[in-house]
Amino acid sequence: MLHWPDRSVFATGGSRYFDRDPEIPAETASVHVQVEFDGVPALAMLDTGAAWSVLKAELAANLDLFDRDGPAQTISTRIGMIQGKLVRATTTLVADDGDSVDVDSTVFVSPDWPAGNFIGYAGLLERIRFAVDPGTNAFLFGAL
Amino acid sequence: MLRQLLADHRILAARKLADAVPPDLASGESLRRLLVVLAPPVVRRRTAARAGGADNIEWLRRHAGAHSGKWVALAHGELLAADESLEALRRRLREIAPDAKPLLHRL
Repeated sequence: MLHWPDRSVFATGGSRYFDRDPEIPAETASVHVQVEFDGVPALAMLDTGAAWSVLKAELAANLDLFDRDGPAQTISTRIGMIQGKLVRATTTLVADDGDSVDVDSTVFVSPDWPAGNFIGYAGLLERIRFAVDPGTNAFLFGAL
Repeated sequence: MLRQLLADHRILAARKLADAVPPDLASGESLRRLLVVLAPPVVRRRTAARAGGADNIEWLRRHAGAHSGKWVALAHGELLAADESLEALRRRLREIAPDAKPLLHRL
């Protein structure tokens, strides 16, 4: 799907992304990629500056992730400190073309999280190659 | 120490320390929880592409504003159901039993 100059593979899957989210007021466009959390399809904003991936509270509750075993954690956000926990979950990067990828990942969940889903660097993107084409709203990815 | 590194978001330092924990010390429940979430992500498998994803994104681009504040369920670029509650939406989807797993998104 996407190759390095030496023809080795960079990305094995690709999908179209949504570039705005009414729940996250922003003057600039953002990248909301197609994912599945424990098999449930959703969109999640790509945020390489985030320490952890975060699930929307209502979705996390629906997936029973608050009941899952994990250490307490506090994260610092633009809206203040949020207390929750870190848990292990399967996150799938969903492809429209090529291969989707299932990742055994660590995500942060909190009933107090007021925003949407985020895909962060630690615990997930750190093992994924990815590229974005803003011209076609394409998200290209592959496992390291 | 490990907990403090995690609290400070010093994830790489926490992982380095976690790797040095002797196996006989890693059996405690509290420490075991920390080691589980500190483990690097693992790509488990590659699966087939899912049809209809791009159509769902196109639907969102065209119609998101009309369903503000609601959860929507989309499949193959069509709205299957919408509700203010995710729980109610998933209940409705169990009744509809769509042939494809719908994308769930709150607008």
